[in-house]
Amino acid sequence: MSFSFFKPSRPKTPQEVAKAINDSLTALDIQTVAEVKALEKALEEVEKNFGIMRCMLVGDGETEPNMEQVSQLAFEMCKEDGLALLVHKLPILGWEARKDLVHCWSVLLKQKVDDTYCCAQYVESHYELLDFLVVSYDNKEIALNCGAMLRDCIRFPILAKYILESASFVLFFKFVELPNFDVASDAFSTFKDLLTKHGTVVSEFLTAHYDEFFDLYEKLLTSPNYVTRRQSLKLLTDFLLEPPNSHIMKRYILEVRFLKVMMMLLKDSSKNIQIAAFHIFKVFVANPNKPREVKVILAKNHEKLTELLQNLSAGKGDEDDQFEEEKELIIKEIELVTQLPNLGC
Amino acid sequence: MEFLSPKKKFPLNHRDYTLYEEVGQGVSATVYRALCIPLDETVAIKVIDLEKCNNDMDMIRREVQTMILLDHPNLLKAHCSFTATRSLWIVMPYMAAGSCLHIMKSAHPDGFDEHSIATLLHGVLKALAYLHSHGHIHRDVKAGNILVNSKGAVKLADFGVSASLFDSGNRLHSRKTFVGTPCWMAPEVMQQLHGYDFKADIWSFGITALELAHGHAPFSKYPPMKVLLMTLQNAPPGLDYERDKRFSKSFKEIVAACLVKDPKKRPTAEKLVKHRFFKHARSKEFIVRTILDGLCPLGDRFRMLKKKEAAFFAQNEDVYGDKEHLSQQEYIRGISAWNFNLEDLK
Repeated sequence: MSFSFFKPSRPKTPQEVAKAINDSLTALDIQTVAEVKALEKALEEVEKNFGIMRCMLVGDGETEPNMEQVSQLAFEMCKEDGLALLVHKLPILGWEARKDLVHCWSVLLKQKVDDTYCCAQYVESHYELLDFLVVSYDNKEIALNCGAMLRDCIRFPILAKYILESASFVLFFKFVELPNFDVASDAFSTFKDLLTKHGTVVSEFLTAHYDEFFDLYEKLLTSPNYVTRRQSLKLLTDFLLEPPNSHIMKRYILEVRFLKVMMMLLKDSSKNIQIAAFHIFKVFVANPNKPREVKVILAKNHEKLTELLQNLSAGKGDEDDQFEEEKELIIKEIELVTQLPNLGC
Repeated sequence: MEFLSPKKKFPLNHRDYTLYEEVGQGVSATVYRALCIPLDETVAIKVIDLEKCNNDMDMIRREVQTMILLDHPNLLKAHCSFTATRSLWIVMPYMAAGSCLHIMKSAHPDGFDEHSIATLLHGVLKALAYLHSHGHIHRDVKAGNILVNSKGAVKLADFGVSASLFDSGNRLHSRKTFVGTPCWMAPEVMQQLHGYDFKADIWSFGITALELAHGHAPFSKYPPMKVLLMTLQNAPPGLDYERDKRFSKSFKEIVAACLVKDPKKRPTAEKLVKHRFFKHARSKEFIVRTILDGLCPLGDRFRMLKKKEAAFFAQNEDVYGDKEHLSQQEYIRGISAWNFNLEDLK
């Protein structure tokens, strides 16, 4: 038993808290795996300090946090590379400590110090942290923690831009199909944030990487996995039909191979997928400047398409009326295309 | 020694499980007793038909994540989740005695004794304190979501509507959505005026205490719209039946403390855990002896209740107009996927 006056006193100021966290995280390196007891003790120390940090950042349910302390702690965590330590040590921490960390991370990133988001800036100059978080989707134990931290980062356009253009971005196409639904759906939700949060960033990215991106995306849309098909189709509507991406959309609807994908999805056995596919298919058909190849495909398949569309109904209230109206227009347009001379079919 | 053994790995393929009988049902999900073949362990599997979930799957993702990330002896945790064609399977521990609602309906129609209630509620409260400290509001606390296993352990379940306060914005922001089951719903949730916070769960907890004491929630025989109006207009319900005299003063105290209309005046879960009422709490073994003894298997009870329900609706077909029919049915079952049109109320 130790006497209380031998124990270091509980850190109180933001500087002390930041230092205590850094020291206790660094101490984890010194302990070897063989020294189980020592490691356990070191982890306990980290957990204790995280509790103090959390209390300082969000209050304890009874008292509100002191904003000045919050912003000072954010500053201190950047100054001493505390943020990097937090990320790198996450995998060896215990269950509750990880959750505290995620919670604190979210508050720290949003913290403004002298008009700048110092923690976001810190991440911006330490991009490897973002790569680390992305790759962690492969580690089931920490995937959900890292996913939440990533989404906090993606709120900042510059950080989202980095991830989109990084080599690790392609990994998302794999992560969204992981067998664990909880991990896969979390990865999907991050993927969605990346493609929808910042219009201009996304539009620039899609313009520069059009072919690679849509090649990969086609694989999602044609995946044998129902959840992947349904979610990726819905997401496509979410970003493709948004104003900043209108030039991307105009390019997309000229391509016969994408039209074919939509026609496949119109025939899907899931009604939800059929309806979502219709909302993209209709743009191909309604395009006043349809290329010849698109017209040919529509004309060749007009009977099947008309029948398919006639049997399709959205099935509820106001949405239904609009859907029916659009459907009629699209069926008419396909009819018109079919009657065009010189299509050679 | 269990502590040292490596964490069990539940397989992520539906072929590794055998589904047995139905033990629960919701709007778009069915719960089965099942066997995990490679581990030779009985589990419960919630099978959600994703095709019936019209909107995007964010709600479901959150429910599953909550069940995976929270870790407390009084919360029902998910072992794993995966998809099998169009359905989502969530594998959970099997709670052989079922929910307190089911137990009451089949063996204790007038509610439980005070020691059992204290024991059950103590577990629920510890779960709520943990949830709240992690920034979650449960939003659907009721006897139907309090599960008991064969050893008498109590676990709060169903995070289908639970919301995370931390998801948007960093601090303890109030939520502004309308979910829950009307009988258990706090006045501020119904009013949708200022948003609500953890304290909404404390109200529902108080209603649940009454439910366990009487065998049904207050106002449960009225249609949902009427419940809304009664909760808003009447004085809070309490332990004031004639036969409630058997209950202790501390029980009445705790119920009254939770059922205060002003959420600010309700105590926190953390504070309530220490209430003297819980001196009446007993062990798991006590629960097994007093309320689980002689119960027939969950699957059989579930089938019987389903039959009773069907008969009830067949009998009362003409009582419930076409328009309200479906929601009325779901309401009586205690299913919580409610969409009120509040404009109708004003």
